[in-house]
Amino acid sequence: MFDPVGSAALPIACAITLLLLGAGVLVQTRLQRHSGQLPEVATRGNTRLATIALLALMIAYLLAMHLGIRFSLATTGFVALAIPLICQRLSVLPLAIPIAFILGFGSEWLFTSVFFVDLPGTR
Amino acid sequence: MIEGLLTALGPMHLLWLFLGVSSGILVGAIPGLGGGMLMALALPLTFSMAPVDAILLLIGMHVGSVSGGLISATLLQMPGTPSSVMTTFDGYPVARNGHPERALGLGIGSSLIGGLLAGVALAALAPPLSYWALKIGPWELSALILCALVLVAIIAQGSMLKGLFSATLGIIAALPGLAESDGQLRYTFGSDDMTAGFRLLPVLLGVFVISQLLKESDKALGSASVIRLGRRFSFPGLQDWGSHWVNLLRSSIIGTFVGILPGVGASISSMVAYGMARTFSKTPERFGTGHDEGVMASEAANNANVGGAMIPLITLGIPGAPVDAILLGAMVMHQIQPGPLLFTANAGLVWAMIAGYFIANLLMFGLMLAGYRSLARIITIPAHYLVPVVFVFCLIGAYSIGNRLFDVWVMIGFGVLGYALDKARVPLGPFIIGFVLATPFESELRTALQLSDGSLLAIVDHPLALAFVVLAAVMLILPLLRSGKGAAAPAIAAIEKPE
Repeated sequence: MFDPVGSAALPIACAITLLLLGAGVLVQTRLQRHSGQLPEVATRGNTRLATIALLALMIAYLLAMHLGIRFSLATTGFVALAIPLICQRLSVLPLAIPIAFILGFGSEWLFTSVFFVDLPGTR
Repeated sequence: MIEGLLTALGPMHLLWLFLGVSSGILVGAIPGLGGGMLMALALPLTFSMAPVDAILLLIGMHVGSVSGGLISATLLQMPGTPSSVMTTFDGYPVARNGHPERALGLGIGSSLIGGLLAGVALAALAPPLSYWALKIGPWELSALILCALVLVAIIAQGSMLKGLFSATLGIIAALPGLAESDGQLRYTFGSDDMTAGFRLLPVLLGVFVISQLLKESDKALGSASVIRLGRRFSFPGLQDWGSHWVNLLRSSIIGTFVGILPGVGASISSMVAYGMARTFSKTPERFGTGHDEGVMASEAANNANVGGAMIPLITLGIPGAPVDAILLGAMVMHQIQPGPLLFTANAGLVWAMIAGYFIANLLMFGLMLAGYRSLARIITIPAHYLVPVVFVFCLIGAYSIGNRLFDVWVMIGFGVLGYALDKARVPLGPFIIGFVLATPFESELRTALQLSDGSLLAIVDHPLALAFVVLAAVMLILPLLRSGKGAAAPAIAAIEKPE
């Protein structure tokens, strides 16, 4: 036989292993919880609304570039909004805007004009 | 050798080495940017340079970037480069425990020792090892990769099931795309973008950087987990180095040896060295909590890997890691054909490269000691400024490897997955190990089985491969035996601990 293993062997083996390990993790967690080694709800803190908003902003940033907006403009908008969003203080805006401009237009110039690297919307 | 040393010591060559090392350290220290990206960006700039200058610049960048990663790994818990992932496990806890200078000193010193020892190996063993490396076949490679996969279980000890779960998930993430062995497309769902599968850089950036950025934004308002440096720098004394010489030597040898093997990069060598250090340590329970041995093993091995990877590159023309492929490309572009004939046809250049590698390590040591405060200042920016800026650099890095936004989406997708796994206390290290090793493991195993008509017993005809399998078994059993004595503790847990 030319190829005794074949392309499907590893994915099938991985799928079975993942199922078994997943079941094992569930059983282990239940046993640990049952024996009092784990609290009833073992979470690591709730996800902040700011994190979800940041993720949404990242996606919007990418979508903007998909729609053809230049890297410099999209980056300026993203950074100017992301800094106060994470900080949850509008007082950082006066510093966030120049940083956003420098990063947006500066990095576009550096990468496209000095390193000759294409960036989204610059070709 | 002397001729090569004199060449590399020329003022212009030294200048290029200096530029390469300093830019490498800077880029390596910034999470999301790596040596590969820097070298790829610098490649077009070297066209007009003399071949020796170009190669020395790139070697300097390679050495600098591998070393620079330890700064952000230690002070920020974000590996600047994939090769410094293991440094985060102990470097960050040492720094968090009030000794950031010590953690940096251990990392910088170990990097120098690992780099220099690999340089000695490079100079002394390149010709005979090139002959030996030619005999490495698919059985040996697949057995070695199996050995590394077993290490996943070791470093995830304490949550071995979750570690293995994470590693399996990583292997599954590597499956889509063109199967190397038979050229068949798997799990592309008709998308052209998926033909090449998920590329390593976006996955790495997603799992390790984007998930960390999301975690950062999860914390208290405006908080930054960057560790501040004290006023005085106390470099670890001779006693520190003397008491860990076995670990340093072993890790450097592992780094060099793993570097010689094609396709296994600096990140794997530091993982293997870290796992071995923990296995043979008298205090394995301290790994992951801020243990000097962990920092030393990781940093000595990843720097030694650079020198080790140069051996097959120079003597066989085989890149030891993706970054070495860029170096190989640069050599070819400058009309230098790497391979066994290079030693006879262009001995001066080969020895200049080897000497340049030594000098780059010394320069790295000096520059890191002189500039670690400035570098720390660059990364001691409050999280709300750092997160968007690092994200933009990650975006540029992910986009520039293929000029497509698909890779950026992949990066974000894996970032969310990494964030979710982290929330569920599933270690992220094994995911990457599984992802990196899946393709070569499948490819080599299938080739080996093709050669033996599907018989696994053929491994007995390959003593080296058999030795790797036995070593894997020993590494798996030894921690289990120790755990019976209560010695084992989660090493990888350090990366998943809440602040």
